[in-house]
Amino acid sequence: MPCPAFEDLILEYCEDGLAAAQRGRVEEHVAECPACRAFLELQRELDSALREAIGKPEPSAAFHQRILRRVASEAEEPRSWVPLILDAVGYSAIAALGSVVIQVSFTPAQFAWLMMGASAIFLWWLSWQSLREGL
Amino acid sequence: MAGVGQFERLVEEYGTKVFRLAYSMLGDRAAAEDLAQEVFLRIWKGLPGYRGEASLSSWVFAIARNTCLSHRRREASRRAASLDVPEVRAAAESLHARADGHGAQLEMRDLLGRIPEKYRRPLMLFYLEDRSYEQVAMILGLPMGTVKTYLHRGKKELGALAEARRKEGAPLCRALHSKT
Repeated sequence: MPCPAFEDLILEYCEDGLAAAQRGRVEEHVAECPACRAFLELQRELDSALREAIGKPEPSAAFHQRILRRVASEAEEPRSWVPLILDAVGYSAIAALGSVVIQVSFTPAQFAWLMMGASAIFLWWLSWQSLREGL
Repeated sequence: MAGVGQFERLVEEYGTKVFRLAYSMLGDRAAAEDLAQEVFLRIWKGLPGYRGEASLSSWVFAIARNTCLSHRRREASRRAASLDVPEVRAAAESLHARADGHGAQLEMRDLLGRIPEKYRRPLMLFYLEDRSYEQVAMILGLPMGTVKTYLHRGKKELGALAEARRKEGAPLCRALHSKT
């Protein structure tokens, strides 16, 4: 076991993270302390094993171009007319129904049918709004 | 800021670092490239809303981290029934495919997969980023002191795991501990 006061310093020493004064302090201590010397050796081995295991994977040569192509294809994707047409149909139907309700007087049975029709249109519109994100 | 030329420069400047962040989380090169593409797509969509409150690098890496974490969550819920750690298995499989005789590397990758992710990610990035605390701190959005703490805790855990493996007779750990 390394000396607790030097454990992190030795780790940082192996990572080349210490200033010259602290490096000197670690080197002096390690020269006199077998446990810390063994810990330093172990950390050097671990450092080298980690370097080899993690390696230096680089993205492929076409990586940047693939990003730019993908973004370009998203940006240039033509907008579909379908949502606009369906919106227009839905809003026209709602407006027509509204004008009929205002201008004509109905029997209770006719009014009930009318309300069912209006509810059906409203439900269709709600479903359409939730689906249009995908178009 | 949303010009194509500026976006190209952004890809040029941050592309490799975003790839490495994704790689440190997934351990698989092809998957990391796909995820990095996803990150840049989000960056592109978010650019018109970027007001410069945070530095560009902080903004880019925040999007990158969030995208990677969302990806991890999706994968985790998709594979909730499995006890495997997918990125570690992917890394091990890719190494197996090209590395007969690289037992020590496989063993180290396996050990890396066994330490907590919050230590593994800075540890992997530290080596991917030429052992620079500053770069790891910038990519992970952490103070440099925290990066060092996580690195050291990760290494101590790796050392303990290697010691346990040595007792089981694993080759890398025998080599690592032969001098102790």
